[in-house]
Amino acid sequence: VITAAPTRFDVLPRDHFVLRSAITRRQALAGTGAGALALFLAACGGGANRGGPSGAATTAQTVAAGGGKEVDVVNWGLSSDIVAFDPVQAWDYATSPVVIQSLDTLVRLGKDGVTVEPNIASDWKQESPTSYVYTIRDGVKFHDGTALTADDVAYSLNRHLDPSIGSLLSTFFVNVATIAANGNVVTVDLKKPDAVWKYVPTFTPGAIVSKANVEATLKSGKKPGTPETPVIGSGPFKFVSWNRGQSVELERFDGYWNKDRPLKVKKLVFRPVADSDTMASALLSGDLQGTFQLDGRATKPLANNPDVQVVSGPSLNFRYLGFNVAKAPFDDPRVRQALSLALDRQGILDNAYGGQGRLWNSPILQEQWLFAPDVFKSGYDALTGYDRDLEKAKALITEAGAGGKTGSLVVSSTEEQAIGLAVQAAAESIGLKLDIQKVSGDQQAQLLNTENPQRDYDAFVYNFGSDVPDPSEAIDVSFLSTNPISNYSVFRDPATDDLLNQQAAAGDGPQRADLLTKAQARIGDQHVWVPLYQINTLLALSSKLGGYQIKPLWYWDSWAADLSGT
Amino acid sequence: VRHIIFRVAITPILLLATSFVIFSLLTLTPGSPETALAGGRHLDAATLQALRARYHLDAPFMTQYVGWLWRALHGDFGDSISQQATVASTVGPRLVPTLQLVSLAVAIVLVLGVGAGVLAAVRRGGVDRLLSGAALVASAVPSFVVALLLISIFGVDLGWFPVIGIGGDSSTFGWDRLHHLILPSIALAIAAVALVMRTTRSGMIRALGSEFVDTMRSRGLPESTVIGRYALRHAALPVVTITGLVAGYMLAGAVIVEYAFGLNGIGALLVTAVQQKDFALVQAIGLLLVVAFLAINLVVDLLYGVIDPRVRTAADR
Repeated sequence: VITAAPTRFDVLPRDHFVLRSAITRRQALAGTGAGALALFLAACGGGANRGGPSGAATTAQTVAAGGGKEVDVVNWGLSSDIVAFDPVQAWDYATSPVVIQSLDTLVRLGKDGVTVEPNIASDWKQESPTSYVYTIRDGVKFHDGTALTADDVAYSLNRHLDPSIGSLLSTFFVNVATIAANGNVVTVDLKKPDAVWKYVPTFTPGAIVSKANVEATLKSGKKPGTPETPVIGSGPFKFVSWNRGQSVELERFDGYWNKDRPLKVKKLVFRPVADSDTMASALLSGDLQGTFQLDGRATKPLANNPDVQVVSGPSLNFRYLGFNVAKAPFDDPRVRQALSLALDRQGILDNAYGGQGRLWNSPILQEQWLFAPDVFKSGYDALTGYDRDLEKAKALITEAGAGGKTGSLVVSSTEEQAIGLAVQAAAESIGLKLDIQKVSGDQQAQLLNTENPQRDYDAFVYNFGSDVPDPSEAIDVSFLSTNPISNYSVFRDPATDDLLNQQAAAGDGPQRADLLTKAQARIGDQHVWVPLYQINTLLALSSKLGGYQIKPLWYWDSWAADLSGT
Repeated sequence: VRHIIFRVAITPILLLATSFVIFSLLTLTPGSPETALAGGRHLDAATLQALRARYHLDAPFMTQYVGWLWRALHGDFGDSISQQATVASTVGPRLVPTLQLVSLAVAIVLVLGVGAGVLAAVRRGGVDRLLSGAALVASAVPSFVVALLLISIFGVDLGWFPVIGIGGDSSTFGWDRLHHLILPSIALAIAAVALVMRTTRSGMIRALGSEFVDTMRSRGLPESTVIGRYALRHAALPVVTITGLVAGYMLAGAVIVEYAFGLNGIGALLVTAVQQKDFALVQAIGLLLVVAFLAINLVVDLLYGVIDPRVRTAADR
């Protein structure tokens, strides 16, 4: 049982703490139940299946090949209900994966997870550094039978530019000047070169909705995206119903244009289950057939169970310990480095996430070395000093005169609490005292995403999930001084700003890779963060299903079209 | 009758006071609701500003409250920020599972609690010790532990019951819904069953030992009539009181069981709303809970009159 020192909030966190500590008790109690021995053995045997730091966990594995059989119903677990059936509000980890099964995106990431391939656009090209041209495919039908045109495409993308709609994805469109349709062609003109743009239409910002349908909804005075007024797309699954808090039901769209993707799942039902352990029970009982949202530790009872397979691959999400570098005690780089040297990062990964990931030292992940990988590799290899060295850590603290200094450490989820306790213990071993502040996930988001330049914390444990495969996202968002809200560390470094601004203008190639690795080195040298580990994408799936190959960005992918029965 | 009219009359004042307290408390908690929208991802400053203006978050405290009150009095409870929909369309579907869960739990409490209480009081001896012992254990186990045990045994191992959701698509209550709600309602009810059982038991023992029961027995009334019609009625007042309290407590406390069974009822919604500082939604649910408490109290008062005619006349004097 984790007892974080000052618990500031008594309401149940999103990731319910009491229930979670009870699950270990359940596993212990299970020894009295009927089939409990199996559960007990499964819980104990989890170790054998652990992905080690350098083991199989980091290589993509295909789920047991789908047998191509038809499946009547697939119940899929989500960590929360969707907020709208509309792409302008699809940015959380529930709304996006649901909407993306029903709406086609303009282009799509290929099997490798990084190549931009045709989808609704049968062809696309970059005509100049700031101009992209998409040719719209003929013969695509919306779920209501009407034809999808270039006009629908331009309308769908332009919705993100309209401030009155308040799209949560508008941030991806900051560099867009105009989006216009002409015949069967849609042209996107940018204000300045944007390395990330080519990926933007591969996920919900590029999801195409029927213009006629949205306009009819607006005309009747209603808001698009409610259970009564869902948007209409052209993707593999069409909307059937959304019962708030209970389920979102989709069914196979027989008029789906892409005959290369034969649809085998007839009905797809998404069900929100907030607690990861309840989710695991529901997979064991057969109430759910799959989920991407199991906590690394909740997979243990599923290991060795013949009815459920747990498959893992790399994700674009990593955990880190961040510092507020504008405030004592972490305004001194030596103190930050000392704490970094005092950590047992492998122990933290094993304990906090069941070993489901790998240690990683940079905000740029290996999966994002999309061009000039050798430049990225040598840049990464030059990042050193992440091995534990208590003597050096203590010497640094003495040198900085930081012995006995205190600070606060903000954590939220159970995983972050486990990390926080390890950090607290490490800090204590070198003479620093950290107070853990346990807050709910929403409160944590609010604490961090503040315009208050003072910021009410000294350190925090958090994660970053990239939305695109491009290597620049995490580093841009977190370290540019021109991103005052998302620069949680209050890091202000003109040299880093210069490098990051230059790389944004440079085209993909060795030069851009070099600029990025130089920025990465500056941030590493100053120990603005302690990068901890990159988590695995975990897919728990009924043994009766298969056919999907894990991609790091599963939440943007129409994976349900690939599932079939074995 | 008069005190019931009084109760109904002060309800609006209670609601007004409650709404002000909720609003103030929520304002005092740290954080800002618009940042919660993106599920922890970062939003740029311009989008934050647009969202703030849309939900009137840039106005001062009293302006926000009076604006909310004015709209609420006209039947508009506003838009929920966290759910991105009107409060009215959000609360309804989430209230249904909670009401059905609590109703079923109260039914279980009454049937099992009163039944076991009467049995223990009438039989005494071994039966009494067994039931009282069971009640002691039941009242000591927290509902989430019961929930996890039920899920593990009856959901996963035996596979008799589904472990998540409420089943069915609509608000109708059919077999499928009952099937989904049996385990959660047992988890919710079990501690209260013990409480009601003990209350019934002690009330019955007192009633069965009293002179009027001796009188009835001496007049040759059958034992079942004595127990069922007279003694039980005598013991019923505290049982009704306790059950009313328990029902109110369950409405607010159902969130733990809802969470364990993935029911997504009003409790889970309230927790989300509070964490995201979703003013409109917290207000609506808070006020609904107050109304529910008042309604339960009213029903309990009315039942007093039905059970014991002396209460009726005393109140009218």
